[in-house]
Amino acid sequence: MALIVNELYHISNKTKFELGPISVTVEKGKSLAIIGENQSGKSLLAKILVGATKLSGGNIVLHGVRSDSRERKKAIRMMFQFSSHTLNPSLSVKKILEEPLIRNTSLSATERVFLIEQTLIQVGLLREHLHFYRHMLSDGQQQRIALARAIILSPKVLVADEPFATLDPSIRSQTINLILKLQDELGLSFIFISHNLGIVRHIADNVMVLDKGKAVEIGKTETIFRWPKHDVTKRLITSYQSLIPQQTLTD
Amino acid sequence: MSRFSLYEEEFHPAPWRQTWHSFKEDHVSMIGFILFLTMVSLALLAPLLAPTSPSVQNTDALILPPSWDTAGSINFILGTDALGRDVLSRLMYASRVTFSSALTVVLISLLVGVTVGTLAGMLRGIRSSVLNHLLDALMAIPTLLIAIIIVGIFGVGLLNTIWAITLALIPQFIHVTRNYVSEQMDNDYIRASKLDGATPFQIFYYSLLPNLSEMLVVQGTLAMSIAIIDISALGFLNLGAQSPTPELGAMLAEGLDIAYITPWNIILPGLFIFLFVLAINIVGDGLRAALRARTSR
Amino acid sequence: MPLLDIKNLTLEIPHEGKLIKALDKVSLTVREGEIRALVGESGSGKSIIVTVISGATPPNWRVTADRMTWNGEDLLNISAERRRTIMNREIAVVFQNPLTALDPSVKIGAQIKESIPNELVVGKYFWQRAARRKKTTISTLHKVGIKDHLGVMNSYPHEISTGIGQRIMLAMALVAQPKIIIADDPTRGMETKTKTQILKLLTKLNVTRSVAVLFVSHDLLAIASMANSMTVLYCGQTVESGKMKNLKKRPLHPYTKALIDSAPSFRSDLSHKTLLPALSGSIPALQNVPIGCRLGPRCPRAQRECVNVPSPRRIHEHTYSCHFPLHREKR
Repeated sequence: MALIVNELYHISNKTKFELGPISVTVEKGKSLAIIGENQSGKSLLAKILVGATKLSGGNIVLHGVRSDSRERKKAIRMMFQFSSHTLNPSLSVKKILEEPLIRNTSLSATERVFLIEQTLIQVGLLREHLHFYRHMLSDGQQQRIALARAIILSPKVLVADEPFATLDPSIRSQTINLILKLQDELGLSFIFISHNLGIVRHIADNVMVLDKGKAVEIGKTETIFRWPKHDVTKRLITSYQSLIPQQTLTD
Repeated sequence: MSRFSLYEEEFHPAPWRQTWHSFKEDHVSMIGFILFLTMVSLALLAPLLAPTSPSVQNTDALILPPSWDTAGSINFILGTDALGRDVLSRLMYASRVTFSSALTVVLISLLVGVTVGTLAGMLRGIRSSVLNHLLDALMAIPTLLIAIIIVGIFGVGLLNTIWAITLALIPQFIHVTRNYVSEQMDNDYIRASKLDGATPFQIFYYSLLPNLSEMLVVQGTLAMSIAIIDISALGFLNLGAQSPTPELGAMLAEGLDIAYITPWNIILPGLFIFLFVLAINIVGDGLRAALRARTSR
Repeated sequence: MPLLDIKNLTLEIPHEGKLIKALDKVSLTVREGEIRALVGESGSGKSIIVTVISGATPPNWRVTADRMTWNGEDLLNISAERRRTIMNREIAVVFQNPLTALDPSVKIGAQIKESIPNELVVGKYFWQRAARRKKTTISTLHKVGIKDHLGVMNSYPHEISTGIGQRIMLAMALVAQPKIIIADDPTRGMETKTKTQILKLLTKLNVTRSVAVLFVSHDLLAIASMANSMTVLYCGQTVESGKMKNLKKRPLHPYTKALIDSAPSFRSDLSHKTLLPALSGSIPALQNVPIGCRLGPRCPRAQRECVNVPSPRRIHEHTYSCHFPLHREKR
């Protein structure tokens, strides 16, 4: 049940930005953090993984899932940075969560509602939230709905672009806990982009460092944080460490 | 299914209801709304409410002033015109004609405009940009002028007027829809729907249309007032409804001949046009303010 | 003497016919030359405090305070003229998003030159003054760590990155030689490297020019690395304030503890992938804040007394407002 990315390559038509080739494997239930500076192609990589942007070369293989793009889109789901933007303001939570089910499953209306209620409870909301609209939900609740939308098709892999950046500290901790819990329960693989190296260090099993479209370093989180090899990694880690005075580079 | 509801005391209004709530708060909009309802019911219920038929000519009661004048008669509350027809009945039937043709115009142009506008907004590249520039050029010409040109080609008559004004209004709808849709297409929720495997039509129907409807109500009311003015203007210029069809603009034109003797024959139709447009504009403005209040929280 | 001294500031905003207490007896003190952090999540009213200090409050807001002084002058009863002078010369505000605070159609050099107060420009003739302005601009840009001053001065705001943009905002703040810089979440959404640079710069300015800094943010990692003291806000109430060291080591208020716990970087004892301690629920909207201690419904230590607003208690320089503080069990 591993996600294997093989020599993934992308070149954009307009900007001639080259991404890759990147090869990485994410095991079931493991987390991969993608870190790097702005314009390093992190978001692009996330979009390619979920199938929103086509790749120019290489392939993405998910064990146990047929390789056609529709099945893959079901198995690899995306969570966007601004969860409030992904919720349609004129639709109720029920309608928002129903959409992926209508498009991708053959469940009946009652089965759909049942599954939506299950998922809402799973992400720590109530059945009553079915009839809520976006503007009635707080930031944290919106984040939960976005998460519910991502996991409702029981995917194998969850890809998230900066899921924590815009959240307040207490909501952020709640979201992190929720993702850890879901990962534990569902065996989700979690690929996320983050600037917050503290969180990366806490929840990622592996870290990939991107720079100008190239994966300059991939490895275990602790290894990368303690013994960064590449210059870009060193720069990132040092600037993070400089915020925590009591710890040094090699601990 | 009776479930224990934890949030029973908390009232969470749906977007539409919330809009209505903030609309109600504003007294001016509410007065405009009541005025609008009055005018519309006067127009639509004309066959039930009108004292006489609009075309009956009372030869013994020509150019009677309104009933409150000493020379007036209680049988003709708002007086009669040069042919002895009851002005009140004619006004009501005329509003009916003007209002319903304006409504038809707006509905047709809305339907066509939104369809084309959505296509233009969802398309990218050269087709979209050609359409956009063409529309911008069209928008620069006043609708009334376009309508007069079209009537000039097709000939006069109420039906041709309706077509002409419809054609003249369509570009405006296309324009707003296109702008709105292309703006929304960049939004994450559209992207999320695409990832769910939605086809362009499904994106339009499930994701865009619910957001579009509010904007269209606002745009529709504004188009409605334009349509009423244009229809009456063409009627006034004798290009629209031909007598004896009662139509507000045409009534104005008829009254103009003897305006010095019977001023009420031009004041009253003019007042009706004014009230219609005023009511519609107030309601439109109030709706816009209410929608803005809701989305900006 | 404290530079900025606010005691029991209450702000009421009319909403649907009622007055909402957006700030409820907030106290905040900034001493000369210190870096004070104002910490709070969104909806805590930290940006509102910045608005109140800068005096840009809408006329229908009701501001009351026991004391609100700037350098000994009462800010609540002061002529608009004097207040403007203070805001121009002594208090500088740096906003969150530099690119929206700059005029997009004017070159950056011109914008900085324009923000230099006239009385700081010496010179008899206009060309002397223009040269003087240019000199000040260039030296200020150097001070905020921009070496390529010509390149930056000749670019338009859309041509620069957010990191440079934030430096320029700091430069514009510095040209008036203020006594305090109020930085409203200046590092939000920045990547770590740029963030560190901006924080270093603020610290440097504080040390070399003894400018006081009021750093408004919820990024505890950033705050802990630079601030001397900290005031924690929750929902418009000050919950705790004191020296950064003490607060970090021994927070007395449950909310402060929750905030500090939320940054995994502070916890070397936390093992990989374990759940983080987090308060349940979310920050209530201003329209329906709970009575008493506003943390009440979310607080793990809440008891019946918490429906009354706790009065601030003080141990040395450490103030907290809680009926049941941590580490101080009633015996």
